[in-house]
Amino acid sequence: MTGAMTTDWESERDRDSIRRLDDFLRSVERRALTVAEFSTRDREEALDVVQDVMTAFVRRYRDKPAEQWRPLFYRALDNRIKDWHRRRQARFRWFGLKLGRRPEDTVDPVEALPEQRRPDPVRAGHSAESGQALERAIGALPERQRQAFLLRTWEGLSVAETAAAMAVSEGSVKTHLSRAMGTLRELLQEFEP
Amino acid sequence: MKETEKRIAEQARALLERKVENIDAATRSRLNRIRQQALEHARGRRRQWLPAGLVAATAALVLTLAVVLRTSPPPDAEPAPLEDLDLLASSESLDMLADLEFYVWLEGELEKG
Repeated sequence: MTGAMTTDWESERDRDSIRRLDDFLRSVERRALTVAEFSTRDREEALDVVQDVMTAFVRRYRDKPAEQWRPLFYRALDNRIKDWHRRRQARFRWFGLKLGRRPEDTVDPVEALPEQRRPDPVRAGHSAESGQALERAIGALPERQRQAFLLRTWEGLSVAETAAAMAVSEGSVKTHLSRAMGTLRELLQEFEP
Repeated sequence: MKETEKRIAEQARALLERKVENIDAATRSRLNRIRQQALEHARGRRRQWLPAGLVAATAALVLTLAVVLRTSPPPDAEPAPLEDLDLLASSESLDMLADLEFYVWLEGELEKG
């Protein structure tokens, strides 16, 4: 009898824990997809990223206190996006070699991301409305700047949580965010009142 | 934060919320499937202990029976006294078997659930 009661209690506790995990994942899944899609620029690739992140999160972090879940989830997402960039760069290098080109260099592609500036997306859509221009501008931000901007401004993570999610110092978060704001201000100045 | 930056942040939040709200039904459905698959890892880990417990209980039962049978008296030994018969007839000895049935039932329920 005691065994049955214990089992009932444990299964109820497990169900409750899975329910809370389900609620949490439901609350972040579409945001995660949006963040991933800004990086990959492809819905299918972004869905793959989210799938990997959810699986990794449940495996590694489900037993962590719930108040730590959000930064941990975005840590997993940030890692997976970095991984996605590395693999893509590796594919490009491999095909570059096959085509007889010289591999670019040995610089870590993710470390190089903050310096990669995509070309003039707002001016290309000069006549577009400001919402579209803003979306393009966010998409045009260098990867690390965009991550800092999205996590701080949209997700509302603190500087410390953003630093943990991005695996950088708090100073780096402030620098990335400040640069992101500077870039967005510059790109959007023609839409300012 | 400067006024311009505040405005940019507010506009970005509104834009991104709209973007999330406007995700199409097919993509939402895929996200739902992805989430359920991920949660299976959590459900799976909890379930795997139950068959293991059942196997351990069965092994203990078999071992106990084997020891009892090996040490039981030969056929020409004295007949068992009445109190031994009472013990054998007692319903308490069936509790473990009843528990085993319960665990088999519970496992089936979890499989279904």
